[in-house]
Amino acid sequence: MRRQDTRERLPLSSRRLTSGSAALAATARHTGEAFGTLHEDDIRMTVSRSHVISGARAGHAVTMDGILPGPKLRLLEARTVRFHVTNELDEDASVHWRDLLVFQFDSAPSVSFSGTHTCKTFTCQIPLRQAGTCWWHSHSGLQEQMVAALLIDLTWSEERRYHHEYAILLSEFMPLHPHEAMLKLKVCENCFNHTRQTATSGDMPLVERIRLRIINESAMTFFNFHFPRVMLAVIQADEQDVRDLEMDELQISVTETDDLMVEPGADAHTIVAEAMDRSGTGRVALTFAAGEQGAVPPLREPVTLAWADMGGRSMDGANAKDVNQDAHPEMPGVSHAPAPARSPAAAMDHSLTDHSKMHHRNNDQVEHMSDGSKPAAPSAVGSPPRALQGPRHAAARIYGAAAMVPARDELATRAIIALTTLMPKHLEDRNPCLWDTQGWYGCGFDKLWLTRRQVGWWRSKRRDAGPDEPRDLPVVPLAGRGPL
Amino acid sequence: MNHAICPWFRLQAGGRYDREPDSHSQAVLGVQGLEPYMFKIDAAAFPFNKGDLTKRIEAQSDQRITQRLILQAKAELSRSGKDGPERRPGAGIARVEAGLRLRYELAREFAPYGGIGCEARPGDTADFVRIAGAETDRSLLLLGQRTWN
Repeated sequence: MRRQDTRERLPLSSRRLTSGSAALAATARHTGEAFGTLHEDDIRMTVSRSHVISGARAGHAVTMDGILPGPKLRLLEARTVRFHVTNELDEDASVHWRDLLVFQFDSAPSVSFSGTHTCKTFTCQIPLRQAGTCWWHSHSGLQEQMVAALLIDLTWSEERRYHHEYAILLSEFMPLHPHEAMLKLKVCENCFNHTRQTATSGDMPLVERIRLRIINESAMTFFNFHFPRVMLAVIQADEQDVRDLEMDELQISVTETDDLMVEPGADAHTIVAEAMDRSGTGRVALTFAAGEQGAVPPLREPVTLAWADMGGRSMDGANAKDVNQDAHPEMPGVSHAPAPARSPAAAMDHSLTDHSKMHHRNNDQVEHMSDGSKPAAPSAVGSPPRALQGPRHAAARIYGAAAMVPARDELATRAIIALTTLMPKHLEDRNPCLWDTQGWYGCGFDKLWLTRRQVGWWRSKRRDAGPDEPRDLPVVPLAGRGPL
Repeated sequence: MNHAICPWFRLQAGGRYDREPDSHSQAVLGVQGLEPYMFKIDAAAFPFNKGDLTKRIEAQSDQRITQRLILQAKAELSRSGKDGPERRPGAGIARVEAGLRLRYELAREFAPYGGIGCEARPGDTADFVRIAGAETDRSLLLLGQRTWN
């Protein structure tokens, strides 16, 4: 667990870091004017390589200004901000402004720009037309761990309904180099399914109302986020104001941001973010005093997901109930998705928020399931009808088709991740023993695949295939054969 | 060459070269993919082989007992278009093999396994095998090692 407190004058002794093996990163950052926070209208940042330590483990990372998470950006709505991103890597880099309402400087390489080339500075000017919790990360060459929060405040004096605020960035961490991880995943898609656990603690000013800005920047992890004994009131989701929705747990999907209002009281508390597959957990202790630490709930069993949990339109009612009960046998009535809202009225509020990103929570359905009654049909939330009706190549209308051709060609080339792998796959001790070796070169669609199936003799020293051996064993085929 | 034709299946075309007992080349055309309920299918045909069309189909399925202990069921069936006395398989279904392998993934990349299998050669192939003085059916004790990097 990585934690960076950004308050400048905070004495070190008032912070406490509980070490543990690190798989996930949750970063509690104070939102005041602080080190690592950039808030000018003209922002300069530099991309470089760093060695990052997370808990007891360390690994390679591409970082912005040498820190991970990168500098938090605190900006004002209706202003125009200029970003100057200098690339000190020996490969292309990019900063993709997640959630910002921009197209031209969206900074997705080869889609809306060609990438920030090595030793170059990319400058873009972005008018800010929104307020809320955004974030940015890289979109180049598996550098996505370069990430930080981007918070945009309203220009007019917003009635502050809270006293303090923290941005919590949920992420994954692995010491393995991302390209090695990709290579392994290309051969064995589930090879990282192990259990890891992390721990950290932060401290908290005097207890009042606190705004938590939660950002899930992970590559592929959903988190079950909960704050034991404290109700979470969602006030914003993906920068859209929502009617306050109270829950005691929420599930946050990849790239989603949620702003929560909490009133933790004077006790020591622990905020927990469990990876949905329980491969790890991130926790932040919010305490009144530096020495205190809230009770840490144990990592729960992973949840068996059903079709409806993944946004499916229909699900058998009986199955839904079974899944719900199997998930937490020790906690009857507590569901794995955000727990039922405090009152049915609140649940109804959620269904009125009309926010497509929230549909996976299935809150109204969970409410029914915990009652033991038959769940209602999941509400038909999906893509709006106009979502996929736009022009096929919208960028060509702005930049011209000719200008986009090189960018599209580049994208097509980059999509090919060519890998070479050689697998001595099987060695079977039968008579004769069988070697099955295969390797391939190529990308996802097309591969050159070589297989060698060889029969050896080790019990008897015969070289010829005996009459009792099947003919199709002693062969050296050169043809496509199966993956593992 | 291997070309993905849909998310679950890939088409494979290429050549096969046998070194023993006598060197022999054949064309290979195959389909490989994942069936519903996580069955892996690997089917290959060897056309243009002096009028003979040999086919082979293999199906396998993994059942996780724990996160690391995995039971794999596997069946293989091969069929010949016509008799090939010097090549031994007779026309029709030439060989059926079924096996169970239990592997323990010490690491994902390193998994020793043990298992049992049985093999049968029915039909005309059985006659050829009997003429050669061997048994048509046999049981196999399988010990193996699965590795990749």
